[in-house]
Amino acid sequence: MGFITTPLGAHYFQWGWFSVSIGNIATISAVVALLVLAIVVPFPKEHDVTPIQREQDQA
Amino acid sequence: MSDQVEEVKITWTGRIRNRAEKNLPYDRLMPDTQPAYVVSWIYVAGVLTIAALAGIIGSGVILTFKGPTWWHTSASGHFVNSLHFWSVQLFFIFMVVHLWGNFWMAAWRGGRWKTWISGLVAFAVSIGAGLSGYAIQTNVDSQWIAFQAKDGINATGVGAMFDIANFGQMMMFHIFLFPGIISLVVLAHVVWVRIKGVVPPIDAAKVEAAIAEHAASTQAGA
Amino acid sequence: MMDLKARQKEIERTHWTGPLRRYDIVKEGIIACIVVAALVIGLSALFSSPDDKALTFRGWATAMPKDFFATTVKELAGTSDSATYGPPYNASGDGQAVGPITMQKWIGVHEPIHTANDFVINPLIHQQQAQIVQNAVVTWLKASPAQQATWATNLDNAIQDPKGANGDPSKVPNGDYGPTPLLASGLLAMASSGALDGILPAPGDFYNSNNTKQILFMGDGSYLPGFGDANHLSGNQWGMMNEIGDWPGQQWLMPFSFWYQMPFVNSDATSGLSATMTANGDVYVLAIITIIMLLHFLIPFIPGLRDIPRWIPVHKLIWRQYYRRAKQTS
Repeated sequence: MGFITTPLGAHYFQWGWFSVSIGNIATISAVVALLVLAIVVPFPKEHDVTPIQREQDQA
Repeated sequence: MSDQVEEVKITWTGRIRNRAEKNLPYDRLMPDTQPAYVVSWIYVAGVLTIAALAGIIGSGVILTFKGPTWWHTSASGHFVNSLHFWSVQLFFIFMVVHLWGNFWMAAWRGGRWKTWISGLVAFAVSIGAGLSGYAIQTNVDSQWIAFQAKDGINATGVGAMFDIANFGQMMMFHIFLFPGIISLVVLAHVVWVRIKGVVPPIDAAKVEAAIAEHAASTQAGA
Repeated sequence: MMDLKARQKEIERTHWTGPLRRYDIVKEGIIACIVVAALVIGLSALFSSPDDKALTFRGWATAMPKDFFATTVKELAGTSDSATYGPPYNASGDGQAVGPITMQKWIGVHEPIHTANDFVINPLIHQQQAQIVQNAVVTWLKASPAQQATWATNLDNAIQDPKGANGDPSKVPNGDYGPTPLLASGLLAMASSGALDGILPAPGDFYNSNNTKQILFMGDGSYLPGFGDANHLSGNQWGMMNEIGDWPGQQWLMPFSFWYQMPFVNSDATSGLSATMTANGDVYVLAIITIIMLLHFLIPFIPGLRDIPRWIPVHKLIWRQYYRRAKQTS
């Protein structure tokens, strides 16, 4: 398990039969990081205005 | 007056307009308010996907004017190719975030399955679009990808109509067919979102009931 | 009071009548475009994009003349991968199948390629050749298909003989090869000069927009596959999603690439189920992917799958700002 450099100078992470290039690690990590951030980072408050009261009867 | 109503009912044009006016009035097509639950960055991933698609199309149009081999010999050409390349990477990154986000929101609820499926169709067609693009780079990447991908495509029988080693055909697929399909699918996707509205949270009824109860009790108290 | 579950269903189905907030989608869209544009320009300036020159037949013939020669003989003998490919190129095989489902065979030959004629003879005919090569072409064309096959197969076997030449055409013993050696060396000379690159795709034609013949011929040798292996791009190296160098590749093909790593499509067995699955690996992988895709498409209708977001309540995090409203009022 670990990073390897191919004879042509490309970088890969290898673990048994699993192999992923450093470029793909970056993009896949970006997907995961963005997903997590999109879920946990609070949406800006300044967009929030007083909720407009429901027009319909509340009964 | 009654003539007019009659006409609207029986003509195809009238029927389509009536349906559009009913399902997609202007305030639903371009609303400036959203339900109170539309507070999450997940919603932004979809818009970013479309912005990346705009980047792909924009850089693609420049490459179109300059032809398929310009970017090998011109530094600015190579830069435009890079814009195209990174727009595609971002497009897929944002699309997958959007897809996963909407999975966790179970965004197909309330008859929104058409939106869900059209999104997945957009993803599937984008894979084909990407593949055809990689095949027309006119460099060693294209040679390798054509050599490899042909077996998978041929094995399904699709190779008879989709010959990845045929530069001319891939060119037309990539700059006309796939962008056309993707644009239409994305348009339908967005229109369905606007018609149905953004999917309410899984526990929306609970929240609304609590708010209503609170309002009722404060009224009763006053 | 209405049942909560029924009320939830109603809320989902009807247009929202609850509290609203300001939301400017046009502004959001324009800001998104600006952000993406900045990201794309930044990434392009920082990392550029891959563009390694296309391989050529000249390069192949110069770097690996023996391999080029041996491959040419295979094309003449009809033993190369392309010659035995089957549909859509020729009928010399059935192609891949999942059990009785033989899509490749059913759809049939749509882009006929005869390797001996298309890769070797026609290119030779469409360029001025030395007299000795011209004569060899004439001898070949006058011979019956059976005679052609005998000559070329004899030479092919002699080159591939592990106890003899073992891939080196210069070590082949004398034999009944007819004009085959001259045809192969003629094509090698043509390739080395660079002439084959221009002629192969469409001999005698002005326009050419189809590179299938070039891709197939080049793929039959060791030059192009060697390039792929060296660059970590081969199918069983997760190559489907890889790119030259350190650039990200088509990482969205990961679900495809994953199945190409599975032992059942990389088996060395010569018989049995795993041998069948390996021989038909592409179509099995694509069948698996099709099923997975369909499951994704149909999530809204599949009980269990569609309930996962309720069971693993990530939505409580996503909508926490909204859900807080209930607490604030109680």
